[in-house]
Amino acid sequence: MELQRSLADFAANDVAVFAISYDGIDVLASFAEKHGIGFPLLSDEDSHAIRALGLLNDRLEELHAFYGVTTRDDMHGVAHAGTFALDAQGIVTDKRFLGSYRVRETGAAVLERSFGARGSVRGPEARAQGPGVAVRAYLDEAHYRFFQRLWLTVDLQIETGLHVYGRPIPDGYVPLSIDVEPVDGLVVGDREGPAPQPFRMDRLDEAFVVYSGTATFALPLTFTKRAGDLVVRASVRYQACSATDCLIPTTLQLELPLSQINHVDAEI
Amino acid sequence: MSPVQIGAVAPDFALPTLDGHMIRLSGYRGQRLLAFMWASW
Repeated sequence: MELQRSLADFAANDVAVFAISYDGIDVLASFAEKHGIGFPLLSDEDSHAIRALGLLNDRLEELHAFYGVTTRDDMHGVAHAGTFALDAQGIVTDKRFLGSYRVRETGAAVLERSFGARGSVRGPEARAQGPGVAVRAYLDEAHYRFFQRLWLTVDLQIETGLHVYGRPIPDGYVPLSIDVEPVDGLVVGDREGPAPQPFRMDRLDEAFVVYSGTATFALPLTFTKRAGDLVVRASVRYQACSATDCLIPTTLQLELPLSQINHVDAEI
Repeated sequence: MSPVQIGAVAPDFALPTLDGHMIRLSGYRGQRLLAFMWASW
């Protein structure tokens, strides 16, 4: 998750960080030294906290097989991998356990989605300008690992007095679409973003939903193959209209280069 | 046992740090916190 690299961003947003594992203190101490970990690594050797939190993973053998670890009798008690967020009153405000133990998010993604704070953008960024709309796209990291989830964030700045269409949409109009060119092993998840707002055009009976002003969208990208260094090519298609006129439909292309890295053990 | 629920207070616990101190979850009251569940492998 690269928590260590995002630590300053968490601190800047007044979010404390710690990690819990069933590893013994010796194992954690050598891990912390090797990787320069600057936040508390808590040892839950008998998994009592993991159990109290209801996060005991009963798929240990499967996990170990994936990581090439031999299961010993004393190793039962691993937690489901993921994060949970607490507010200042100790109330759980978010949980991010991605189902597949192999999929990992970046620290920047967790900071944004669990705490609503934007961290530093470490990934590549691309900008494009089309009729009525400026687009900025970025990835939350500059590299990916096998089975990592990165987020492609797309900010739209729509000129005052204009809107772009959302879905559902009557025939003959161009809705906003954000697509990623296929890459072998790259799984693109559902787009997150604001709901479009109802809009009625003068003299037309058709109902529209539109985006206006600033709108930010995000698409989860999960890399299920080691595809090497690559370029994420995103396209943003839209048509900007005012209450009376429409500008020409446009597709903007954004290119975001990513490199692949292999060290699984540097993930924290 | 049901997992931590959004909207509920997380159950308290105390765990040792690398330098032998105990950290208690409730000791973080007053501050937002991210807890990362993981294993060293």
